[in-house]
Amino acid sequence: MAKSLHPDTCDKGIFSALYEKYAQTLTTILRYKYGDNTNPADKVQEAFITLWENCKKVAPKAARSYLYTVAGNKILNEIKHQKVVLKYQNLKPGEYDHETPEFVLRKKEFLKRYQQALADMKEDDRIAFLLNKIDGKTHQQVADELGITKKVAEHRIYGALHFLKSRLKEMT
Amino acid sequence: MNTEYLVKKWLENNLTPAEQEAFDALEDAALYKEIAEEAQRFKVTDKQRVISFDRLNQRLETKKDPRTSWTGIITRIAAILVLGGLSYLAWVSFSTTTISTVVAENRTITLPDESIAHLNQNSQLSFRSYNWEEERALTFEGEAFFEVKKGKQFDVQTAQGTVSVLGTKFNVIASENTFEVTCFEGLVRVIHQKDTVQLPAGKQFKSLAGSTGTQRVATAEPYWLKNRSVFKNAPLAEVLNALEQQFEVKIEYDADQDLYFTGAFTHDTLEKALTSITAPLPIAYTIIDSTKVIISRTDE
Repeated sequence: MAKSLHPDTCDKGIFSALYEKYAQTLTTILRYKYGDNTNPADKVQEAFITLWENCKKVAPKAARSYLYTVAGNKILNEIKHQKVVLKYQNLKPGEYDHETPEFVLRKKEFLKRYQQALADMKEDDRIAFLLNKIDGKTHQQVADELGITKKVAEHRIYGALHFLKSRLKEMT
Repeated sequence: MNTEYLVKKWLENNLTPAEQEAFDALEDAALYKEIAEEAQRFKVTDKQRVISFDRLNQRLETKKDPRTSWTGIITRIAAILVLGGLSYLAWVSFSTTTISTVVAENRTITLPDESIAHLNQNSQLSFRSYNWEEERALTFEGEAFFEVKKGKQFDVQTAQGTVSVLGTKFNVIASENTFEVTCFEGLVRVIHQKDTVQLPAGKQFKSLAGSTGTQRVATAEPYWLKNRSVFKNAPLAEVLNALEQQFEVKIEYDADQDLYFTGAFTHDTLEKALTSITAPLPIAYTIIDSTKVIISRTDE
Protein backbone atom coordinates (compact mmCIF):
# COMPACT_ATOMS: atom_id res chain seq x y z
CA MET A 1 0.00 0.00 0.00
CA ALA A 2 1.32 3.42 -0.90
CA LYS A 3 2.25 5.45 2.09
CA SER A 4 -0.12 8.35 2.53
CA LEU A 5 1.48 11.78 2.44
CA HIS A 6 -0.10 12.58 5.78
CA PRO A 7 -0.31 9.49 7.91
CA ASP A 8 -2.37 11.20 10.60
CA THR A 9 -4.70 14.14 11.16
CA CYS A 10 -2.61 15.88 13.78
CA ASP A 11 -1.80 18.80 11.54
CA LYS A 12 -4.01 21.81 12.28
CA GLY A 13 -4.20 22.71 8.59
CA ILE A 14 -5.38 19.25 7.59
CA PHE A 15 -7.70 19.12 10.54
CA SER A 16 -9.34 22.45 9.74
CA ALA A 17 -9.75 21.39 6.09
CA LEU A 18 -11.51 18.23 7.26
CA TYR A 19 -13.75 20.35 9.43
CA GLU A 20 -14.72 22.70 6.61
CA LYS A 21 -15.37 19.76 4.34
CA TYR A 22 -17.34 17.44 6.58
CA ALA A 23 -18.74 19.21 9.63
CA GLN A 24 -21.89 20.62 8.07
CA THR A 25 -22.64 17.76 5.68
CA LEU A 26 -22.26 15.16 8.43
CA THR A 27 -24.51 17.22 10.66
CA THR A 28 -27.11 17.40 7.91
CA ILE A 29 -27.07 13.67 7.24
CA LEU A 30 -27.21 12.82 10.94
CA ARG A 31 -30.05 15.25 11.34
CA TYR A 32 -32.05 13.62 8.58
CA LYS A 33 -31.26 10.27 10.05
CA TYR A 34 -31.91 10.91 13.73
CA GLY A 35 -33.81 14.17 13.89
CA ASP A 36 -33.29 17.52 15.59
CA ASN A 37 -33.74 16.40 19.17
CA THR A 38 -30.42 14.60 19.08
CA ASN A 39 -28.45 17.81 18.47
CA PRO A 40 -26.39 16.44 15.60
CA ALA A 41 -24.35 19.65 15.33
CA ASP A 42 -23.13 19.17 18.90
CA LYS A 43 -22.40 15.52 18.29
CA VAL A 44 -20.40 16.26 15.16
CA GLN A 45 -18.47 18.86 17.09
CA GLU A 46 -17.73 16.33 19.82
CA ALA A 47 -16.73 13.83 17.17
CA PHE A 48 -14.20 16.32 15.80
CA ILE A 49 -12.80 16.80 19.28
CA THR A 50 -12.54 13.04 19.66
CA LEU A 51 -10.79 12.89 16.30
CA TRP A 52 -8.31 15.53 17.45
CA GLU A 53 -7.59 13.61 20.61
CA ASN A 54 -6.99 10.47 18.57
CA CYS A 55 -5.46 12.18 15.56
CA LYS A 56 -2.41 9.93 15.66
CA LYS A 57 -4.51 6.88 14.95
CA VAL A 58 -6.66 8.26 12.14
CA ALA A 59 -5.44 8.96 8.61
CA PRO A 60 -7.15 11.83 6.75
CA LYS A 61 -8.63 9.35 4.31
CA ALA A 62 -10.38 7.50 7.09
CA ALA A 63 -11.48 10.65 8.90
CA ARG A 64 -14.92 10.95 7.33
CA SER A 65 -16.11 7.49 8.24
CA TYR A 66 -14.46 7.83 11.64
CA LEU A 67 -16.34 11.07 12.33
CA TYR A 68 -19.57 9.63 11.00
CA THR A 69 -19.28 6.58 13.23
CA VAL A 70 -18.28 8.51 16.34
CA ALA A 71 -21.00 11.13 15.98
CA GLY A 72 -23.58 8.46 15.11
CA ASN A 73 -22.64 6.39 18.16
CA LYS A 74 -22.85 9.43 20.39
CA ILE A 75 -26.37 10.05 19.14
CA LEU A 76 -27.38 6.42 19.47
CA ASN A 77 -26.09 6.31 23.02
CA GLU A 78 -28.30 9.24 23.79
CA ILE A 79 -31.53 8.38 22.06
CA LYS A 80 -31.85 4.61 22.10
CA HIS A 81 -35.42 4.50 20.91
CA GLN A 82 -36.44 8.09 20.71
CA LYS A 83 -38.75 9.17 17.88
CA VAL A 84 -37.23 11.06 15.00
CA VAL A 85 -38.45 14.62 14.88
CA LEU A 86 -37.51 17.09 12.20
CA LYS A 87 -38.66 20.53 13.16
CA TYR A 88 -40.24 22.59 10.44
CA GLN A 89 -40.27 26.34 10.21
CA ASN A 90 -43.71 27.66 10.79
CA LEU A 91 -45.47 29.68 8.18
CA LYS A 92 -44.37 33.24 8.19
CA PRO A 93 -47.28 35.72 8.36
CA GLY A 94 -46.46 37.26 4.99
CA GLU A 95 -46.80 33.91 3.33
CA TYR A 96 -50.43 33.47 4.00
CA ASP A 97 -52.09 36.66 5.14
CA HIS A 98 -53.77 36.95 1.79
CA GLU A 99 -54.90 33.37 1.96
CA THR A 100 -58.17 32.11 3.28
CA PRO A 101 -58.32 30.80 6.83
CA GLU A 102 -59.15 27.40 5.39
CA PHE A 103 -55.95 27.42 3.39
CA VAL A 104 -53.86 28.38 6.43
CA LEU A 105 -55.46 25.67 8.53
CA ARG A 106 -54.96 23.07 5.85
CA LYS A 107 -51.32 24.07 5.44
CA LYS A 108 -50.69 23.75 9.13
CA GLU A 109 -52.27 20.34 9.23
CA PHE A 110 -50.35 19.35 6.13
CA LEU A 111 -47.01 20.22 7.72
CA LYS A 112 -47.87 18.36 10.90
CA ARG A 113 -48.66 15.24 8.92
CA TYR A 114 -45.59 15.77 6.77
CA GLN A 115 -43.48 15.79 9.91
CA GLN A 116 -45.13 12.67 11.22
CA ALA A 117 -44.70 10.90 7.88
CA LEU A 118 -41.00 11.78 7.83
CA ALA A 119 -40.68 10.36 11.32
CA ASP A 120 -42.32 7.12 10.28
CA MET A 121 -40.36 6.77 7.08
CA LYS A 122 -37.44 4.42 6.53
CA GLU A 123 -34.26 6.10 7.64
CA ASP A 124 -32.34 5.55 4.39
CA ASP A 125 -35.19 6.85 2.26
CA ARG A 126 -35.56 9.93 4.39
CA ILE A 127 -31.87 10.81 4.20
CA ALA A 128 -31.69 10.43 0.45
CA PHE A 129 -34.94 12.30 -0.14
CA LEU A 130 -34.08 15.28 2.07
CA LEU A 131 -30.55 15.59 0.71
CA ASN A 132 -32.14 15.80 -2.70
CA LYS A 133 -35.04 18.06 -1.91
CA ILE A 134 -33.70 20.32 0.85
CA ASP A 135 -30.03 20.51 -0.03
CA GLY A 136 -30.69 20.37 -3.76
CA LYS A 137 -28.19 17.59 -4.33
CA THR A 138 -28.49 15.66 -7.56
CA HIS A 139 -29.08 11.94 -7.48
CA GLN A 140 -25.43 11.40 -8.26
CA GLN A 141 -24.32 13.67 -5.42
CA VAL A 142 -26.65 11.93 -3.00
CA ALA A 143 -25.24 8.59 -4.10
CA ASP A 144 -21.66 9.81 -3.57
CA GLU A 145 -22.47 11.27 -0.19
CA LEU A 146 -24.02 8.08 1.09
CA GLY A 147 -21.67 5.69 -0.64
CA ILE A 148 -24.39 4.05 -2.71
CA THR A 149 -25.03 3.75 -6.45
CA LYS A 150 -27.04 6.31 -8.33
CA LYS A 151 -29.69 3.68 -8.99
CA VAL A 152 -30.13 3.00 -5.29
CA ALA A 153 -30.28 6.72 -4.52
CA GLU A 154 -32.96 7.17 -7.16
CA HIS A 155 -34.90 4.26 -5.76
CA ARG A 156 -34.76 5.63 -2.21
CA ILE A 157 -35.83 9.10 -3.21
CA TYR A 158 -38.71 7.75 -5.18
CA GLY A 159 -39.66 5.42 -2.33
CA ALA A 160 -39.72 8.37 0.04
CA LEU A 161 -41.88 10.46 -2.24
CA HIS A 162 -44.25 7.56 -2.73
CA PHE A 163 -44.53 7.06 1.01
CA LEU A 164 -45.19 10.75 1.63
CA LYS A 165 -47.79 10.85 -1.10
CA SER A 166 -49.71 7.94 0.36
CA ARG A 167 -49.65 9.53 3.82
CA LEU A 168 -50.63 13.00 2.65
CA LYS A 169 -53.09 12.14 -0.07
CA GLU A 170 -56.15 11.89 2.16
CA MET A 171 -55.56 15.55 3.01
CA THR A 172 -56.27 16.85 -0.47
CA MET B 1 -46.72 6.34 -19.91
CA ASN B 2 -45.62 4.66 -16.68
CA THR B 3 -46.27 6.85 -13.62
CA GLU B 4 -43.21 5.66 -11.70
CA TYR B 5 -41.01 6.39 -14.70
CA LEU B 6 -42.46 9.89 -14.98
CA VAL B 7 -42.14 10.64 -11.30
CA LYS B 8 -38.53 9.44 -11.21
CA LYS B 9 -37.66 11.58 -14.19
CA TRP B 10 -39.41 14.51 -12.56
CA LEU B 11 -37.45 13.98 -9.38
CA GLU B 12 -34.32 14.28 -11.46
CA ASN B 13 -35.59 17.38 -13.25
CA ASN B 14 -35.12 15.43 -16.41
CA LEU B 15 -38.52 15.54 -18.07
CA THR B 16 -38.87 16.32 -21.77
CA PRO B 17 -41.61 18.89 -22.54
CA ALA B 18 -43.90 16.06 -23.63
CA GLU B 19 -43.22 14.12 -20.44
CA GLN B 20 -43.72 17.29 -18.37
CA GLU B 21 -47.15 17.59 -19.86
CA ALA B 22 -47.90 13.99 -19.03
CA PHE B 23 -46.62 14.48 -15.46
CA ASP B 24 -48.74 17.59 -14.93
CA ALA B 25 -51.71 15.58 -16.05
CA LEU B 26 -51.14 13.01 -13.32
CA GLU B 27 -53.75 12.83 -10.62
CA ASP B 28 -51.22 13.50 -7.85
CA ALA B 29 -49.02 16.01 -9.67
CA ALA B 30 -50.04 18.90 -7.43
CA LEU B 31 -49.40 16.85 -4.31
CA TYR B 32 -45.97 15.77 -5.59
CA LYS B 33 -45.07 19.37 -6.18
CA GLU B 34 -46.33 20.44 -2.80
CA ILE B 35 -44.35 17.68 -1.09
CA ALA B 36 -41.20 18.67 -2.90
CA GLU B 37 -41.73 22.34 -2.14
CA GLU B 38 -42.63 21.99 1.49
CA ALA B 39 -39.60 19.78 2.16
CA GLN B 40 -37.72 23.08 2.32
CA ARG B 41 -39.42 23.79 5.61
CA PHE B 42 -37.43 21.02 7.22
CA LYS B 43 -34.25 22.76 6.29
CA VAL B 44 -31.51 22.95 8.86
CA THR B 45 -32.16 25.50 11.59
CA ASP B 46 -29.50 27.80 12.97
CA LYS B 47 -29.24 25.54 15.94
CA GLN B 48 -28.11 22.71 13.74
CA ARG B 49 -25.53 24.75 11.93
CA VAL B 50 -22.02 23.82 12.95
CA ILE B 51 -19.83 26.42 14.60
CA SER B 52 -16.91 27.92 12.72
CA PHE B 53 -13.59 26.16 12.85
CA ASP B 54 -12.08 29.05 14.79
CA ARG B 55 -14.53 28.48 17.58
CA LEU B 56 -13.92 24.75 17.55
CA ASN B 57 -10.23 25.50 17.58
CA GLN B 58 -10.63 27.45 20.80
CA ARG B 59 -12.16 24.37 22.36
CA LEU B 60 -9.29 22.29 21.06
CA GLU B 61 -6.74 24.64 22.57
CA THR B 62 -8.19 24.08 26.00
CA LYS B 63 -7.65 20.37 25.45
CA LYS B 64 -4.14 19.15 25.90
CA ASP B 65 -2.06 18.80 22.78
CA PRO B 66 -2.67 15.25 21.56
CA ARG B 67 0.56 15.19 19.66
CA THR B 68 2.48 14.51 22.81
CA SER B 69 1.93 10.90 23.72
CA TRP B 70 -0.18 10.85 26.83
CA THR B 71 0.40 7.26 27.74
CA GLY B 72 4.13 7.96 27.61
CA ILE B 73 3.85 10.96 29.91
CA ILE B 74 1.50 9.21 32.28
CA THR B 75 3.81 6.21 32.44
CA ARG B 76 6.70 8.48 33.25
CA ILE B 77 4.75 10.36 35.91
CA ALA B 78 3.57 7.10 37.42
CA ALA B 79 7.11 5.76 37.46
CA ILE B 80 8.38 8.89 39.18
CA LEU B 81 5.56 8.73 41.73
CA VAL B 82 6.17 5.05 42.45
CA LEU B 83 9.92 5.54 42.76
CA GLY B 84 9.42 8.64 44.85
CA GLY B 85 6.95 6.85 47.08
CA LEU B 86 9.21 3.85 47.49
CA SER B 87 12.27 5.89 48.28
CA TYR B 88 10.26 8.00 50.69
CA LEU B 89 9.01 4.85 52.42
CA ALA B 90 12.53 3.46 52.49
CA TRP B 91 13.88 6.74 53.77
CA VAL B 92 11.22 6.90 56.46
CA SER B 93 11.73 3.33 57.60
CA PHE B 94 15.52 3.15 57.39
CA SER B 95 16.22 6.64 58.58
CA THR B 96 16.37 7.39 62.24
CA THR B 97 13.60 9.40 63.79
CA THR B 98 14.87 11.68 66.49
CA ILE B 99 12.63 13.47 68.93
CA SER B 100 13.95 15.86 71.52
CA THR B 101 12.51 18.17 74.11
CA VAL B 102 13.88 21.44 75.42
CA VAL B 103 13.68 22.90 78.88
CA ALA B 104 10.24 22.67 80.48
CA GLU B 105 8.82 20.77 77.53
CA ASN B 106 7.10 17.41 77.83
CA ARG B 107 6.21 15.29 74.85
CA THR B 108 4.40 12.04 74.35
CA ILE B 109 5.59 9.89 71.48
CA THR B 110 3.79 6.90 70.07
CA LEU B 111 6.23 4.36 68.71
CA PRO B 112 5.44 2.20 65.64
CA ASP B 113 4.00 -0.63 67.79
CA GLU B 114 1.90 1.84 69.78
CA SER B 115 4.19 1.69 72.75
CA ILE B 116 4.29 5.10 74.32
CA ALA B 117 7.20 7.21 75.49
CA HIS B 118 6.54 10.29 77.63
CA LEU B 119 9.57 12.51 77.28
CA ASN B 120 10.45 14.86 80.11
CA GLN B 121 12.35 18.06 79.46
CA ASN B 122 15.85 18.09 77.97
CA SER B 123 15.55 14.60 76.60
CA GLN B 124 16.29 13.00 73.27
CA LEU B 125 15.04 9.77 71.79
CA SER B 126 15.96 8.13 68.46
CA PHE B 127 14.52 5.08 66.79
CA ARG B 128 14.13 3.46 63.40
CA SER B 129 10.68 2.48 62.10
CA TYR B 130 12.11 -0.24 59.87
CA ASN B 131 11.53 -3.72 61.32
CA TRP B 132 10.41 -2.15 64.58
CA GLU B 133 8.13 -5.04 65.53
CA GLU B 134 11.07 -7.46 65.37
CA GLU B 135 13.71 -5.27 66.90
CA ARG B 136 12.41 -2.74 69.33
CA ALA B 137 15.42 -0.68 70.24
CA LEU B 138 15.90 3.02 70.78
CA THR B 139 18.68 5.22 71.98
CA PHE B 140 17.87 7.63 74.68
CA GLU B 141 19.17 10.39 76.90
CA GLY B 142 17.34 12.39 79.54
CA GLU B 143 14.22 11.29 81.36
CA ALA B 144 11.26 9.40 80.00
CA PHE B 145 8.44 7.20 81.08
CA PHE B 146 7.77 4.24 78.84
CA GLU B 147 4.58 2.25 78.43
CA VAL B 148 5.64 -0.75 76.39
CA LYS B 149 3.17 -2.95 74.53
CA LYS B 150 3.65 -6.67 74.96
CA GLY B 151 5.86 -8.17 72.28
CA LYS B 152 9.50 -8.77 71.43
CA GLN B 153 12.24 -7.41 73.66
CA PHE B 154 12.19 -3.64 74.00
CA ASP B 155 15.59 -2.03 74.52
CA VAL B 156 16.30 1.44 75.76
CA GLN B 157 19.96 2.08 75.08
CA THR B 158 21.63 4.88 77.01
CA ALA B 159 25.21 5.94 77.46
CA GLN B 160 25.04 4.52 81.00
CA GLY B 161 23.43 1.18 80.26
CA THR B 162 20.61 -0.65 78.60
CA VAL B 163 17.10 -1.29 79.88
CA SER B 164 15.38 -4.32 78.39
CA VAL B 165 11.76 -5.20 78.88
CA LEU B 166 9.04 -7.30 77.35
CA GLY B 167 6.03 -5.11 77.98
CA THR B 168 5.74 -2.87 80.96
CA LYS B 169 5.80 0.67 82.29
CA PHE B 170 9.02 2.17 83.44
CA ASN B 171 10.81 5.45 83.89
CA VAL B 172 14.38 6.12 82.85
CA ILE B 173 16.64 8.97 83.80
CA ALA B 174 19.90 8.98 81.92
CA SER B 175 22.00 12.08 82.32
CA GLU B 176 25.72 12.64 82.67
CA ASN B 177 26.07 11.33 86.20
CA THR B 178 22.66 9.90 87.00
CA PHE B 179 21.18 6.65 85.75
CA GLU B 180 17.88 5.82 87.34
CA VAL B 181 15.33 3.23 86.23
CA THR B 182 12.01 2.87 87.98
CA CYS B 183 9.74 -0.01 87.12
CA PHE B 184 6.02 0.62 87.59
CA GLU B 185 4.62 -2.49 85.99
CA GLY B 186 6.02 -5.84 84.78
CA LEU B 187 9.68 -6.70 84.90
CA VAL B 188 12.63 -4.66 83.68
CA ARG B 189 16.16 -5.86 83.12
CA VAL B 190 18.78 -3.20 83.69
CA ILE B 191 22.27 -3.69 82.33
CA HIS B 192 24.60 -1.22 83.95
CA GLN B 193 28.29 -1.55 83.30
CA LYS B 194 28.91 -5.21 84.22
CA ASP B 195 25.84 -5.66 86.39
CA THR B 196 22.53 -7.03 85.29
CA VAL B 197 19.65 -6.22 87.60
CA GLN B 198 16.11 -7.62 87.35
CA LEU B 199 13.76 -4.89 88.46
CA PRO B 200 10.22 -5.90 89.41
CA ALA B 201 7.28 -3.49 89.68
CA GLY B 202 7.66 -0.93 92.44
CA LYS B 203 11.46 -1.05 92.43
CA GLN B 204 13.94 1.54 91.39
CA PHE B 205 17.52 1.15 90.27
CA LYS B 206 19.72 4.13 90.82
CA SER B 207 23.30 4.90 89.98
CA LEU B 208 24.49 8.25 91.21
CA ALA B 209 28.08 9.37 91.22
CA GLY B 210 29.49 5.85 91.20
CA SER B 211 27.26 4.27 93.83
CA THR B 212 24.45 1.99 92.74
CA GLY B 213 21.47 0.67 94.61
CA THR B 214 17.95 -0.62 94.38
CA GLN B 215 15.07 0.76 96.38
CA ARG B 216 11.30 0.63 96.59
CA VAL B 217 8.98 3.26 95.18
CA ALA B 218 5.29 3.47 95.90
CA THR B 219 3.86 5.36 93.00
CA ALA B 220 2.08 4.13 89.89
CA GLU B 221 3.78 6.56 87.54
CA PRO B 222 6.58 9.09 87.79
CA TYR B 223 5.81 12.39 89.48
CA TRP B 224 7.02 14.50 86.62
CA LEU B 225 4.09 13.28 84.62
CA LYS B 226 1.99 15.14 87.15
CA ASN B 227 4.25 18.18 86.96
CA ARG B 228 6.07 17.37 90.17
CA SER B 229 9.66 16.43 90.97
CA VAL B 230 9.95 14.05 93.89
CA PHE B 231 13.06 13.25 95.90
CA LYS B 232 13.82 10.82 98.62
CA ASN B 233 16.79 11.62 100.79
CA ALA B 234 18.47 13.33 97.85
CA PRO B 235 21.49 15.59 98.21
CA LEU B 236 20.50 19.24 98.03
CA ALA B 237 22.80 19.68 95.01
CA GLU B 238 20.77 17.14 93.04
CA VAL B 239 17.51 18.81 93.97
CA LEU B 240 18.73 22.28 93.10
CA ASN B 241 20.18 20.97 89.87
CA ALA B 242 16.75 19.63 88.92
CA LEU B 243 15.22 22.93 89.89
CA GLU B 244 17.68 24.87 87.75
CA GLN B 245 16.84 22.74 84.75
CA GLN B 246 13.12 22.93 85.27
CA PHE B 247 12.91 26.70 85.61
CA GLU B 248 15.97 27.72 83.65
CA VAL B 249 17.46 29.70 86.48
CA LYS B 250 20.91 29.94 87.95
CA ILE B 251 20.97 29.10 91.64
CA GLU B 252 23.85 30.29 93.78
CA TYR B 253 24.52 28.36 96.93
CA ASP B 254 27.31 27.01 99.06
CA ALA B 255 28.23 23.70 97.47
CA ASP B 256 29.59 22.11 100.64
CA GLN B 257 26.28 21.85 102.42
CA ASP B 258 25.55 18.45 103.86
CA LEU B 259 21.78 18.64 103.48
CA TYR B 260 19.40 15.98 102.17
CA PHE B 261 15.93 16.62 100.86
CA THR B 262 12.91 14.36 100.94
CA GLY B 263 9.81 15.74 99.31
CA ALA B 264 8.60 17.22 96.06
CA PHE B 265 8.49 20.49 94.23
CA THR B 266 5.85 21.57 91.76
CA HIS B 267 6.58 22.74 88.22
CA ASP B 268 3.95 25.46 88.40
CA THR B 269 5.95 28.46 89.58
CA LEU B 270 9.52 29.00 90.72
CA GLU B 271 8.39 30.62 93.95
CA LYS B 272 6.19 27.67 94.99
CA ALA B 273 8.95 25.23 94.10
CA LEU B 274 11.56 27.17 96.13
CA THR B 275 9.23 27.35 99.11
CA SER B 276 8.68 23.58 98.97
CA ILE B 277 12.41 22.93 98.99
CA THR B 278 13.52 25.51 101.53
CA ALA B 279 10.74 25.17 104.10
CA PRO B 280 11.83 21.83 105.62
CA LEU B 281 15.52 22.76 105.54
CA PRO B 282 17.49 25.43 107.38
CA ILE B 283 17.84 27.52 104.26
CA ALA B 284 16.15 30.56 102.72
CA TYR B 285 15.92 31.83 99.17
CA THR B 286 16.09 35.23 97.53
CA ILE B 287 14.88 35.70 93.95
CA ILE B 288 17.13 38.30 92.31
CA ASP B 289 15.36 38.18 88.96
CA SER B 290 13.77 35.58 86.70
CA THR B 291 17.17 34.05 85.94
CA LYS B 292 18.97 34.19 89.28
CA VAL B 293 18.25 32.85 92.76
CA ILE B 294 20.45 32.93 95.86
CA ILE B 295 20.07 30.30 98.57
CA SER B 296 21.66 30.84 101.93
CA ARG B 297 21.69 29.04 105.27
CA THR B 298 19.59 30.44 108.07
CA ASP B 299 21.04 28.49 111.01
CA GLU B 300 24.54 30.01 110.90
